[in-house]
Amino acid sequence: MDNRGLSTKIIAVGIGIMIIIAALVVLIPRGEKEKESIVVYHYWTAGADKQAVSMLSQMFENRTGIKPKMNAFTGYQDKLNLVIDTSPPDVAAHWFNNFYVGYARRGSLSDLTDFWQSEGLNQIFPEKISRLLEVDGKKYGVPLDIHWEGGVVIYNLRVLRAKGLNVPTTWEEFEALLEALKASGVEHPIAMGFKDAWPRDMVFTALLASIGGADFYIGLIRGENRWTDAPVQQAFEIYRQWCEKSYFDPSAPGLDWQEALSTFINGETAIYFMGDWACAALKQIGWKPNVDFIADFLPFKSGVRPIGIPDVEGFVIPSKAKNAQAAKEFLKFITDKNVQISFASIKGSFAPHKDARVEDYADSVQIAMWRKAENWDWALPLMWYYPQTVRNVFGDKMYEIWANPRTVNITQICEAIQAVVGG
Amino acid sequence: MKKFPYAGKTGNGEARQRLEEEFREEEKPEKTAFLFLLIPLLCIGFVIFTIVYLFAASFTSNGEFVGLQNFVKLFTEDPYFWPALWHNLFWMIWAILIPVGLGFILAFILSAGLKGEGFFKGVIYFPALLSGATIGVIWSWFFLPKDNGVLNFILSKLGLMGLANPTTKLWINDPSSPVPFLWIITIPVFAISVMVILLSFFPKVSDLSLVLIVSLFGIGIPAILYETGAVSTSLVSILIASTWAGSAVSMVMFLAGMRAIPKSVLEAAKVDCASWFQTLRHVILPYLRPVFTILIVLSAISSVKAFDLVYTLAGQEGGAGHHAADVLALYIYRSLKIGNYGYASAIGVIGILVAIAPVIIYITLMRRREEE
Repeated sequence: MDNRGLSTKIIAVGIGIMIIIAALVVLIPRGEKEKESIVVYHYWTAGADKQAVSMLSQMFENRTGIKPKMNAFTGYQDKLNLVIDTSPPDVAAHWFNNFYVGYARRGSLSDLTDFWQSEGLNQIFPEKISRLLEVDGKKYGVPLDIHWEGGVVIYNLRVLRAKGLNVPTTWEEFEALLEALKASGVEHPIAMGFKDAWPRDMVFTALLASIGGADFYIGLIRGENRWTDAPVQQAFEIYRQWCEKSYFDPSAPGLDWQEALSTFINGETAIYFMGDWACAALKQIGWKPNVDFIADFLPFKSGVRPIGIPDVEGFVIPSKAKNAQAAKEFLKFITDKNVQISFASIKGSFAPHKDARVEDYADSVQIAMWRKAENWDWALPLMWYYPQTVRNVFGDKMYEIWANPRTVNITQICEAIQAVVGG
Repeated sequence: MKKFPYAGKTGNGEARQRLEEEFREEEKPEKTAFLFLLIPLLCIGFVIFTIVYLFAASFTSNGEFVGLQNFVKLFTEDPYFWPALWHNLFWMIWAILIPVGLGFILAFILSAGLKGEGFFKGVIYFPALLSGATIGVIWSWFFLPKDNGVLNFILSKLGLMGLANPTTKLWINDPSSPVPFLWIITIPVFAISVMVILLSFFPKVSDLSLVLIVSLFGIGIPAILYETGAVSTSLVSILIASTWAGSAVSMVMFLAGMRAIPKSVLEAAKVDCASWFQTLRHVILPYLRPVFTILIVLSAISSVKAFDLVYTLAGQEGGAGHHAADVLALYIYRSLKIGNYGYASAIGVIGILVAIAPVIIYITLMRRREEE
């Protein structure tokens, strides 16, 4: 037999073997019937977050018999972007941010308005929360927990105590604290890491909330106020002054939020504008609330109405989910008060359920913050309301101020952002 | 397929049958060859389809035909496109010079018959086995800001923080002009690289021309680019990370090329009392010209694909807020992320054109050589 004949036969035999294997896989009955399952994507990859989601998964399986196949991703938004319209999970964790709005508008998410109706979720969740996840009058997600994200300031009590300084209660005291820290040898009092843009955006969000208060902040995101208005200019101006006075850690562009937290922990900095999840990270290393650190809202300027800026997390069902029925079971499960409280207690957040009480939590700092903000107006972090084009320009301008605080023109910056926002 | 020459004609049954069988036998290899060709044909088809689709998509926005609008916007309005393109072009210049030159230097040293040559070869070649993302993670530790980074730690222990940026202590996210440390470690390599590449292609160049060209292209132009801030500490730091693996690949290819130099030629040079530099200039480098050619082309093409290192080291903006290390592939990624498929395709088209340029130069050079 010559070589060419042999090659043809080998290929034919190979194809034959593959067909037989494929037939066996398809035709041979499985040993036991596979348990019903759903595929869940989330971003709680480490620490307390990971513990909380693992508890959630176990409780769901015990209650319903449906096995949740949990998949955690770093770079979550990128991953979800890739799969949401092609091969999505049955349920996906999500913040109710501009990506959520984008998905909802382009039909990537299941409309859950009827689900909210049939399950009576409007009675379970406070109106101010359900309003935050509405897109064009419809609901596409179910909330699971709430973090305080914008306007939160964490103080290093070890440093403050050593310098004989107190936690400020007014805007003036806050500014005086920054001066005093600098004067007492803390060269850069504010920890910051903006390797990713959002921690820097958070500083601006906090400043705008404190200066403009609820009325201006909500007016701005509704398009009733403009980026050239006085409160925005003042917020940028304060940020500029802080950059000029070198209040921020100069390594900030190279740090992520955890690395910036380490400058706070080692006493290099004393103040950190970060969501309350940073408190959970501090507690994990043994820091005690009210002893080693304290978190509070950035004091509001006198005369403005305070505003709470939460980060609402929950789950959505992609419109192309294969097992939408079981996915709804999962959503139903996470609306349970006890499930929400258990999850939030581990994670250092709050349950959005109406019947959850602050007494359900052990952390005194968080309880104090919740009590303060419970009756304020709420809105999401500022940049969550804007498309990427606006975020790009905003980010560039924030960097421009950071890099050239002495020469930058704040009015021009405000005009440039307004131009891209439009209207 | 061969046609049976007696088709339709009658004849002796047995002889005809034999002839027919003979022709059938000959047909077999063609069928087999076609089977083997199927997969490459599919691959080629896929590549062609993708490129055609990319070009078509570049004229659309949200699925609607918009003509040249994406390109007009790219060239006239977009603040990110030109810096990203420039960074890719600088990356190309760097990739052609530094890893190739450094690979040659390493190969030259290792070919001198040092003790432990095998060990050094293994250690130097190791990074070539790693993925870009892994290299990025490793170098992110090296370039960490503050004193946590290996480089900052070493410099501060040696009292040389003045060679870095002592205020920000940044490397990857520093958009300012390259710090003195980067001048010291890269400019000499630029100069040597220009020299060896030049001598490899033009061994008969006069000493004066050699000095002038090396001064201009190996020292002057990089120094101007550094001084004016046309490139940043951030970009150069990332390029140093890319050189780690790039020079390892070059080194192996040069070592193989050096082995192929006939010993008789080297011995003849020795007999003629040629100095090591004369041997290098008139024997080794001209012999290595094909290796230089292929390395230059491959490096140029790979520079346009740069993504993983920038993404892992500088993040998806190519630098926190300043885009000082932004490249086209990263910009494509960002555009895709927000659903601007047409716009991302337009950037991709530019990327392809930039990548094709060195290939055309390479093919032209090869054809000329064949003609010679």
